[in-house]
Amino acid sequence: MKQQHYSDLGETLYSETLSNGLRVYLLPKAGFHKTYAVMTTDYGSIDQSFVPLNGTAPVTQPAGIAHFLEHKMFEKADHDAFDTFAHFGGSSNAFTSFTHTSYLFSATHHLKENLETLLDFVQDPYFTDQTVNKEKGIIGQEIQMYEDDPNSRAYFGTIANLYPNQPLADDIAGSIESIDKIKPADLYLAHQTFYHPSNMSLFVVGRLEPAETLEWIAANQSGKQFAKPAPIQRILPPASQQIIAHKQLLMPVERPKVTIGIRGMDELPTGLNRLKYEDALSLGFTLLLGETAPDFLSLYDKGIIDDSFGYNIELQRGAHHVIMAGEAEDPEAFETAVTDILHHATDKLAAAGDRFEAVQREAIGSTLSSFNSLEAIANQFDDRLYGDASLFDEVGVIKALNMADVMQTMEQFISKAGISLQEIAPGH
Amino acid sequence: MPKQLAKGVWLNVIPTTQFKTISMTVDFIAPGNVQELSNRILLAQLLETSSAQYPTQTSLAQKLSMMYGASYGVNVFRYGLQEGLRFSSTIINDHFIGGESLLAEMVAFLHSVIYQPLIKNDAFEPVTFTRQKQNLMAYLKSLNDDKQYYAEQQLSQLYFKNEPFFATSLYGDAQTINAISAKSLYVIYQKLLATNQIQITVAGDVSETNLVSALEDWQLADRQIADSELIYRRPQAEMVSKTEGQPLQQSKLNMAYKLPVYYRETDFYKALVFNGLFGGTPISMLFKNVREKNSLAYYASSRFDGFTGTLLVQTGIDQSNESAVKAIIAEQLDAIANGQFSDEVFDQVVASLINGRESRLDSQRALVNQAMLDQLLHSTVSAADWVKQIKRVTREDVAKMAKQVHLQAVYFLKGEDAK
Repeated sequence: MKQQHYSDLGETLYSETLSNGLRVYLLPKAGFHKTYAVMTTDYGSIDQSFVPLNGTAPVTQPAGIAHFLEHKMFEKADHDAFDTFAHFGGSSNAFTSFTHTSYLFSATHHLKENLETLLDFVQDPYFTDQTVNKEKGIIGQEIQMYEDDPNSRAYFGTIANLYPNQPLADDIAGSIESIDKIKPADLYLAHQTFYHPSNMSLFVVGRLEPAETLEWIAANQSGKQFAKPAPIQRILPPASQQIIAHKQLLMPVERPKVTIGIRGMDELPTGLNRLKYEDALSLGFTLLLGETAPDFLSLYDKGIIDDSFGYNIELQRGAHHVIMAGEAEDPEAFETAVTDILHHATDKLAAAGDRFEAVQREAIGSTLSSFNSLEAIANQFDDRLYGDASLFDEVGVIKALNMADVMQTMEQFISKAGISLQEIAPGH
Repeated sequence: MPKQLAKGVWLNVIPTTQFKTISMTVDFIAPGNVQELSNRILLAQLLETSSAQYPTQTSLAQKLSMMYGASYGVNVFRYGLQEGLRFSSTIINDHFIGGESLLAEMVAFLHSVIYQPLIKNDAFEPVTFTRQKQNLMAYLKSLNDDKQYYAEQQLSQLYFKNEPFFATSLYGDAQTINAISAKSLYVIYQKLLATNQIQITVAGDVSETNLVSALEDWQLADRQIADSELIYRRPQAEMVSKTEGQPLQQSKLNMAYKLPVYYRETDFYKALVFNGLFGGTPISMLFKNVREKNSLAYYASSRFDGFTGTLLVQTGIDQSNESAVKAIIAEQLDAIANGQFSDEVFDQVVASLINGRESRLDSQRALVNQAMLDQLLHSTVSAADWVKQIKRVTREDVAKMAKQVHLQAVYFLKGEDAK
């Protein structure tokens, strides 16, 4: 078992790749009462077209299938995995993103039994026409709930504007129409291809003893047969830089909501340099539009933005973008002001040198704080996106950044980026 | 053990090395009403964004950033009949940032933002006051765009129609807030600082001695705190219901029941297990029957509030299924009352509740909240004792609880003609 100590974090991460390809990460946390485990496959809503494992011809599956599969994994022929976890006091859940599906539990007792339950239910699919059809009503309600949520509509609307005709433009849950097409055979095919241990990782954090925990996991895995691993062939639509610049959606809202999406068209670096790119971008946007920025105050005092204003830097397999959102009485003024700041980013950053230290310290503190939360550590950890680097290297990366790095990264991102505006206006 | 710094002023330090941060809260607590609640939320909005030393968000943010991204927030809470204005801040432990001590700096910062607000001529500075009042009013409006919140709020107004304090959300009453002036609020704030019970709670790698000396400069004065009731015992009333139509895809069905059991009083642990079985967990009867068995909802759950003896049910459904869902919910209550549930699910619920309680020991915020509440109640139940109490609950106890539940209010937000 590999062991890596991070002295600036006071954490030691243990890791091992099992013979079936499953990557296991163990992070003991002294003083904690519970253990949190998350098992993740590198498969999300965008992975609709692929060549099945052991197949030759590509298939395209209905939008929302990864999320549907996530829901259906819990139900087995004679039991529900929720109940098995609960039997051992474990609290279980799952979530699907554009690029990943994760299954998790947290428990203060019976770690071994809960871990075995997690591994077993994720690796043992059971779908019938009856159970699949039953789920359509539940997910249908989930879709409708989000359809009524203006923040969700604004976010997914913006992503769709940034990536038209790409799988990213589909909602993670799909639509009522697309999920209606899903059949047990589709789910089995997706599971067989993407839930192979070599496409998955398991992160366990909290109260645990590494050697013993690894032994339990390895013993469970060695008792199962898996197909020979093969590289996954995902079929992507032709690359396109097309963007929908502006869209307005009417909803019965009390206040207009504006979202600005900035899609990066630049080539991302790899490994540790990708982490550095992400952190530099984050510092750059904080300098431009964070609460310490003079522009933030001026827009706030003019009533163009308010406390609802915020932004998020998102970097994932195959895409990166920045999403800014807020409520605005005057959406046009909001759009003009924010895009103007982006267009003058270089000059503005050149004048922001005296705030660099504060913003850097804030980023260090915020990363350190996230290590208080077992969920934050395990959910943010991504062992493929940054090569050999990860969340654990982030404090060091931020400490090493300087103003020139930030300016260069911001220039690289903004100069090629495409911008889109999504408005949610009152009405219906 | 909490330490009394002055009459009505308590310091509670929870030393622990479990976290990378030190978290401190300063709570000003008093019996609540709609006016006081509205005052407090406006104070929170104002004091979170300005002070004499840090008059703008940028100056405040700059200070916090230099303290390695220390967090700072002001919010309002309510436990039963008591309400509090909470100032909170969290800093990174010294040894992660090269031994620089932020504790004294955080304590001084909190003192500055609490005791030196941004004022002009014995009133809150008018430009900032007006801006923040507008922002709060706008925020109140936008809260209604969250339909789960909206439906819950509408139900509260039905259920607590004779008790406006509980019918009002924690964000205050818009009309009342609108009538508050910069001058009147400043007078109110001075009185709050001088008369409210103060609870200072700190969790992290610190000692009580550190804190006592850091707090010396605050010169906290004695205050008379009358022993006042925390629990609200709502009288039984006629059942009321209301249906409202809005252009939505999904309808929301929210129900309120009276369950006359109160926080840490007789039957409290029985009520917790009952709620876990009824709708408080993903293995509950509501989740199993409304969602898993009949595919009628994505969420269907219940919540028990021991400070008002209220059991709340919420679910998002198709508008055509209103009566079917109501019937299923009523059936689950009957089933529990008649003991129609397996030993297995009963044991699972107990194990889940224990897991939830023990997990809260891993949250700095939960530790701080619990310590504050214990002091407010003058009682403590350790996690271990809590677990013992839960384990004592029997199937018969839970069935008895189901018989004490009385439906009091139903609110239906009916989705119609949405595109």
